[in-house]
Amino acid sequence: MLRYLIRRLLAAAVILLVISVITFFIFFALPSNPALLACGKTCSPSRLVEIKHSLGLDQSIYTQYWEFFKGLFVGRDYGDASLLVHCHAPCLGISFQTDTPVLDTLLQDFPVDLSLALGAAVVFLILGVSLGVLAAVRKGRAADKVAVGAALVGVSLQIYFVGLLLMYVFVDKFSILPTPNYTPITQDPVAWFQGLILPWATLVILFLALYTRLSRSSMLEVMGEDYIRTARAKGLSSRTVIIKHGLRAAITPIVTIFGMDLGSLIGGSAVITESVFGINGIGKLAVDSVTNSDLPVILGTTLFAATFIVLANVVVDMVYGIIDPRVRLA
Amino acid sequence: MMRRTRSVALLASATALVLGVTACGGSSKSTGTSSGGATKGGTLTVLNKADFDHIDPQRTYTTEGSSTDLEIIRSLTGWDESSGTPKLVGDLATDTGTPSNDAKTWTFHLRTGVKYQDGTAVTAQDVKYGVERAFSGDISGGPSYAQSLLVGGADYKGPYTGKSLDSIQTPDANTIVFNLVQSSADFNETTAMPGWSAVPKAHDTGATYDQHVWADGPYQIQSYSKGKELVLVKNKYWDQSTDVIRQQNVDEIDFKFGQDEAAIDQALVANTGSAQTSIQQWPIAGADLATIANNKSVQDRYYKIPAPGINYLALNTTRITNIKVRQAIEYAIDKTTVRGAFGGSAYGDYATTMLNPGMDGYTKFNLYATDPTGDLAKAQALMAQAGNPKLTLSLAVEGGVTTQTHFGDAVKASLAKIGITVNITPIDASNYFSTTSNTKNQYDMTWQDWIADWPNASTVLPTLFNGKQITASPQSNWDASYLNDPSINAALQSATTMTDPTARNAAWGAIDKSIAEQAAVVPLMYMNFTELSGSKVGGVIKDTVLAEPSLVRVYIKK
Amino acid sequence: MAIEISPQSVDVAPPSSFLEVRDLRVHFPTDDGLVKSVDGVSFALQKGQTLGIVGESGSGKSVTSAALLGLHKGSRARVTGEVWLDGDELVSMSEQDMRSLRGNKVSMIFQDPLSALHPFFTIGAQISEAYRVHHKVSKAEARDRAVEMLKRVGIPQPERRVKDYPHQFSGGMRQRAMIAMSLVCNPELLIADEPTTALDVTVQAQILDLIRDLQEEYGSAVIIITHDLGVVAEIADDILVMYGGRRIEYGSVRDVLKTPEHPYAWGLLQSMPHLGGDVSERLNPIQGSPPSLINLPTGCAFHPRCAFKDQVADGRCSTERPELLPVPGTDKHIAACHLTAENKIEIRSAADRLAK
Repeated sequence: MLRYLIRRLLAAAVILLVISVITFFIFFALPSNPALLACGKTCSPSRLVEIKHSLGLDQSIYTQYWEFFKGLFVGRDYGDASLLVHCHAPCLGISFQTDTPVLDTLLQDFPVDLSLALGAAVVFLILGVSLGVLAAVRKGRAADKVAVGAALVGVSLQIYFVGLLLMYVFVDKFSILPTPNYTPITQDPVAWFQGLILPWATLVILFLALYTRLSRSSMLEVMGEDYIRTARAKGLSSRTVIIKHGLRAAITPIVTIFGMDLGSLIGGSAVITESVFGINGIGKLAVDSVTNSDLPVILGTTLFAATFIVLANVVVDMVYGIIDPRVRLA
Repeated sequence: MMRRTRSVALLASATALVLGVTACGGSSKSTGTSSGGATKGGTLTVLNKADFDHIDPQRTYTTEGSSTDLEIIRSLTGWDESSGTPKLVGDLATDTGTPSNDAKTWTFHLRTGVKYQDGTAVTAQDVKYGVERAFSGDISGGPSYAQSLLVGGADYKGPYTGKSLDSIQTPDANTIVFNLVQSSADFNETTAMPGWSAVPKAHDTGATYDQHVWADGPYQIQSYSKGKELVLVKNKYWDQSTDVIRQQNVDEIDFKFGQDEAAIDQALVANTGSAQTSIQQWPIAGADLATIANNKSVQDRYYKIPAPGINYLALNTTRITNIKVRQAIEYAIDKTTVRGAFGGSAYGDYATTMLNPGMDGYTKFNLYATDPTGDLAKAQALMAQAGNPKLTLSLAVEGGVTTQTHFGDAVKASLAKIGITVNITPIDASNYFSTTSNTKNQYDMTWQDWIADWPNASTVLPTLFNGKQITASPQSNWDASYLNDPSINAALQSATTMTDPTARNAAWGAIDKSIAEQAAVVPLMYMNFTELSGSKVGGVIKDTVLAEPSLVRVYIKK
Repeated sequence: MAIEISPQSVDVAPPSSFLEVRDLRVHFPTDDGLVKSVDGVSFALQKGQTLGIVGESGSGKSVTSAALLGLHKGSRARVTGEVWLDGDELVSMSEQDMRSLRGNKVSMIFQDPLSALHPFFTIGAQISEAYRVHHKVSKAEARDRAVEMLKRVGIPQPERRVKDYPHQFSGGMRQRAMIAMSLVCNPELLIADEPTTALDVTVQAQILDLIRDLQEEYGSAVIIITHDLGVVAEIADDILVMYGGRRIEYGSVRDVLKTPEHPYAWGLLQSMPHLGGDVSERLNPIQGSPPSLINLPTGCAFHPRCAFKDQVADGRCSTERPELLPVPGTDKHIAACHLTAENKIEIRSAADRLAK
């Protein structure tokens, strides 16, 4: 198990390295010019050279990548002699836009995405699976039709629209909730909770549909399996049959999808939700970095998101090993 | 994003345009301000969809950042707009400066009693250091007036290299003298930009100064979380008696960044809870503009601010060489559909000139269709004179932006009526201006807009129509019509050297007209910027220089 | 016009039987129509006796056994008729009461133990779970019982194997474990649904021996469902041949296998390879495919596939449903076929000659 874990983590490191190389070279293949953007709307050729030098863009692309790579392990120094800025290892670089170390920004934004993702994920997983199981067990009856119908509505709604609507009803019109905002849980747990209710609700509405449908179909499939008939033939109560024998087996494909969703949510994929509610995390950071041709942040956010997706993969595989004894981790 | 890229104008630095002499050189005495009607206390919330590019005074070049800097730092001169029209006044300086040596030397005397947030006095040396910072490659993003105007500026690399710039002299702690490479009659309008301000060397943090701006204005940074929140609190060492522009009414100004613009508009219209004490610096979203402009209930907190900005269609004169065709395009464009694309009448009035009304040098004229829908008969006649060529022209617009898509369609429909096929080429919005200003990329027509740095033709016409920059600055060419007419180039130079304001303004007007005669651009709309505030926000001034709701005298109504 | 009578509802079993099934019908409404999986099946069984139910797939044998366990309760299936087990009627019994019988008084060995055992639980857990449902015992006691049962069915090292998962067992061992699980509560009625289908021949024999031994030990009634007459010949006392959800022949194994009355039963016999028979001998599989349960052929449901329908006059095979009639000279042998006794003797001797 430990050897398996080590091997998987090494593989993950290689994947991240490859992603960083690809991101790096794609960036330079695109017609963006961060120095020109930093230079301002009017920019003299000599000033452009100066800024290119300041951003390190005057070096060859290979040197730039090597500097980046080296910085991951030994850190980097920025700026002129009189105002030296040291970026500690692991240094992901310094943003062209904000001149702050990318890692600091990522770590600062991370609790936002973590709170957003975990809070929403717990709710949409539990609620979605419950609804899906209910729909599967009551297939063809009212409860099933309501659950499937609600799921269909949820999946057809635009997150942007849902977010604005929730804002309008709960904040702007009736002032039931404060304007969504991120307060660290360590600072004020109540404010943390209140500020995240609407973003959570939005993500839940979006994902609930998916998880309801997924668990419904998975459950329907499992409930047709022979071992479910065996369980009933033993004289088990339908509760035990559904929860212990049915759900246990039906949950496996859900775990896979959930791992991926959670990984990418933590990595900042909830960008529209972040934006609508103005709780800015890594998703917003990533989108802005592309808009601003901010290479270090593009690299940082890409690697950060990739790290979580890759980690989610490893975790999912390990959870699989626990759920399904046929999977042997070796 | 769009707005960030367009809060600009300058003399194309490398081409070293000759600027005029003694225009708005009049000095004005401190008038002092009363806080009549304003109440003290409270927290103002500013809802912005994005963080500022920069608030480091030497790096900011956006209207939002510059407007915010007015709260934190003080430049040598400034604009007092409390009377409704912008009036240049001394800010750090006692007056608007004294030109000498044919306006090649400018001397400013600093007020006494202006203090930083730690109580130390602002000195002329700090202003010199502040201006020098802008020369460093690390301090990027700001305007390049200093580089192009100051003697030795082309080669100076900033103070971090250990060198200082000799053309800025500080004979004593309260006097600063600038030596310019050429006459510049409106240099004291240049110095109203945030970059001409004091930075104490001990508190300079280089590229990260954005988050550590050392205040000498009424408010100082309490906390700044990039992309999230900036909290300004009172600078207790700021003294009302030294400042004619600002007041210190609210206790705190809290900028929140990153909320979706539609959500901000929605909150401000609904005007409940904290939205009552909030305001926005980014304009109302295009999609919301018509609704809000027609919403009677918000009119007392709806700010329609005429900007020194022009929205226009540039015709590449080297690609559409036949002037008859260009003139036909002038007549054919239906400006009503074009304006509809940008949000209708709230967006701005139909333009017939490149200079805005209210700007120094503006002369009213209209060479083409009197009806904004165009004059199809004249357009077709001109096309007939040109031999009815079957033309296919490319049009560059910003990609992925709804208003731009509609704009492209409007132009396409207009020109189809005179037998011109338009190929719309969307360019990624974030790279739009760097693409169209690069001479490698040539389009037959490009959408453009321009906002002057201060309301003077000198920050518009030389930058947009001097053909010399095409070769001098090929990656940053703002002559989007590629007009390189020797007589116009000469006239631009001549106008900047004129000493008499009346004659000079007449000269600018004449140049504007001759550009129109060349049919190099189709002026579309004089731009307005529109913002909303909550009902408890008072004292907002319409800042027509920055096209922002100015917060310098803002207060919270009880 | 077909004459519709219901000869299969004739009550042939003595009322004192341990298990008595009367006119059992299991119908499934579907979008395409009503699927009559079981349509009027009756039989009886004494304790200590074994009944073999034989038929092709889709003949209704597995659905019949599921009905005996009440597994259709709560589904869309419509179950009618009567199932009397030791004085209780199961069709009208509540799910609650039925549950206490399942796995306890009545239990079932399913075909294909790989899919019938839960892949995520250990063998031991699945066996002890079955025990704990019906007995108030601790987990440890239940586990001991599971080990004991595994030992009983001949699993080597049961203390160790009890912790294994189904996929770690071989096919034969899985079937043994399945048997251990169904016997854990000493059922009085054991239903074995194709218990040997997935196994190779030597393991088959072992499993059948095991079932027989256990039956002798506990005196249970056993129903063995199979499409393999060889299995029935080896283990059963009585045989019920089903076709299209109906009975077509029923009697003691001796009578039915020696003198099958229905051409379908002949077909099954002929399609059966004989252990020790000539390997070059040609098998005679029954031509055609099983009938649609939504729309059974008129008359004798087997007539489209019957090679002898021409020997019956007036095309009665396709218009008139044959009655289940006692075979003269037998105890309880009944069959539903229009062929006369003379026809059958002639056909059988012809077939015997052909086979030689």
